Amino acid sequence: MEAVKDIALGAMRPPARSWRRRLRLALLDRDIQRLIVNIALILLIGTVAHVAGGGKFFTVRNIDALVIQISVMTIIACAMTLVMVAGAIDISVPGTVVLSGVVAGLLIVHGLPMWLAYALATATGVLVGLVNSFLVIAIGITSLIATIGSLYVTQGVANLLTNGLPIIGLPLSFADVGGGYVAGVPIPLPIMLGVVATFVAIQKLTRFGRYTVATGSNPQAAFLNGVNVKRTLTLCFALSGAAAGWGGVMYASRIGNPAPVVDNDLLFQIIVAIVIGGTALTGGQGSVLGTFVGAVLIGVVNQSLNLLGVSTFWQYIALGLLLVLSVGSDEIMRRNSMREFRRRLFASWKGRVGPSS
Amino acid sequence: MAERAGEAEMRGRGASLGPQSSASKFLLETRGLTKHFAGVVALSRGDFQLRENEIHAIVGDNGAGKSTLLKIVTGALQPDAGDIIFDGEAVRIADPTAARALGISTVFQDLALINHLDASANMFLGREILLPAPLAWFGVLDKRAMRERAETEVRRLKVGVRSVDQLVAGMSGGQRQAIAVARAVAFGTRIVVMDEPTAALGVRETAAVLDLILELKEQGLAVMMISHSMPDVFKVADRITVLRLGQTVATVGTNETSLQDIVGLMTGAFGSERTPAPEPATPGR
Repeated sequence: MEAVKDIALGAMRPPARSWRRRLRLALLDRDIQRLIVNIALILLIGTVAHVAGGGKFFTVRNIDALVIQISVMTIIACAMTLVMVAGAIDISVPGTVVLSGVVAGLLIVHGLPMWLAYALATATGVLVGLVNSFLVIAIGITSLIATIGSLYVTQGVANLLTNGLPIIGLPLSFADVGGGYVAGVPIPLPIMLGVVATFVAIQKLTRFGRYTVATGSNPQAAFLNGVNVKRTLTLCFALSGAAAGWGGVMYASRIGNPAPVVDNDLLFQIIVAIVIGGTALTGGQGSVLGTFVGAVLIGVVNQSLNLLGVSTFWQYIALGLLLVLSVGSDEIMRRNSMREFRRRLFASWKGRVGPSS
Repeated sequence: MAERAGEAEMRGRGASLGPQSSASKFLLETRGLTKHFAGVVALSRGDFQLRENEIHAIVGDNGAGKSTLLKIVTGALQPDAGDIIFDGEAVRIADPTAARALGISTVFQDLALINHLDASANMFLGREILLPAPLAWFGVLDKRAMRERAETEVRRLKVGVRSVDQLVAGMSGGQRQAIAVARAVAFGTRIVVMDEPTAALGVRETAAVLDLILELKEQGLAVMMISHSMPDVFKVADRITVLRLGQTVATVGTNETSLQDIVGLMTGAFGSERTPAPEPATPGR
């Protein structure tokens, strides 16, 4: 707290860019605090599950299963983090996932090479993203409402394309991207890590990443300073659509047969991962790396409970508690320090007791 | 009047130079600016001359047209009629970016800072420095270059911000003002336009911001500022332009006038012989 005050008053020593100063600044960063807490939770829960589950948690087999379980959610959540930092939200992703899975399946059944089908399915996701951005920017519908609309439309289109039935007759290799192994490594692992790294780089290193923060934090000020707010939002939705499109391919691949059934659990897990990762719903704040760690945390909780043979019912409760505890602890941390907290408490006391005020 | 507005339209977008250039010994001059909002006259005779390297305050009661004049000069509003002459050339200022291209930078009343970005990022918002070629295609930022330039700028202005990599959300009102000013003057700026720079600041911070305004003059810039605070105006301004009911009433040198005179001009208590009878408002446009 003392350091915060020093910095705020400009009373610190000249900006020697020493690692100590950097570390001190970093530890004051809310995103980094979040990251540390979540990584600690992952290790704690993992260790408990490892011990209680007879040493089965930290095994290659279990970690592989965990990766396959969280890969789709993680990929989409990374892209949606940018949407939320820019002050919007994309509810349409589970619809896009289903639609692009169906598109990929149909194209392959009709004889297209697999890579082309995947590319076109991802492009379908981009298209949905562009439609979303059109609704939000050109027409001016709130992103929440606009993307709920496209969630239903994409779901409907996917059903129309397949008559509501799962697609059959796909080659066995279709199951590779979502759950196959190459040289003992689950294929989703490098894909997921690649996507995470790409989005971390986009957010931290590029002008676009900075513009997402500006757009979400203060769109009016961003515009006055020459930031193209509309283009920034469009790109956010397009990336979210692309991620959902590619995620749909992996999702369908993991299931084996693309079916036009929306997985709403996926949507909520994505949002929970993002929020646990420290992204604010109000825009301007959030980190892709935090989202990744949040997604891993969700995976670890689910996988631990699975390993210990706890029923799915309890998993729902665990996920709910995790979300509430995470956001609650964040609120408490936001009060900066216990001293500040006590001072405020005391102030409100005085207000109540003091006859003069 | 309608014809002149049409002519202004025909000059096209951007800060294109007008067809005729009017001789002017001022850095920035506005002649007969008019602006109506749905039949209400916001500005009916906005005359204003800004000299090189002067601090020029615009004062007037609420609704006198100060903000309208300022918004026209900074490109946020388009006048219905009237001319803007910048550096001897008639110009049209289509938007804030065009104003900035001319060298007219604005410090907005709410400062227009992004709380979730650090000081350096705020200063370079909208004109980021990118790393060389292959990386620039992907919009990769040169954060170090921006931080170094931001530090130089902050040091040049002698403002009390020691580190440009802290979030502006954690800064005091005076520091935030300083960052907004540093951003405004950093890029080949010739005129800094400030809207109520000392509103909502404490005594000590007001003094710091006034020092900063004087420092801008010291650096050779011209400052155009709106202020409600007469003591501040008298502390820093070289000249004062008084607006009343949408018209320029008078422009006077600060050391040739007094607070009573200015207040009298603002309220119309005297100086009415200089104010022509108000024109009947043109209905609509």
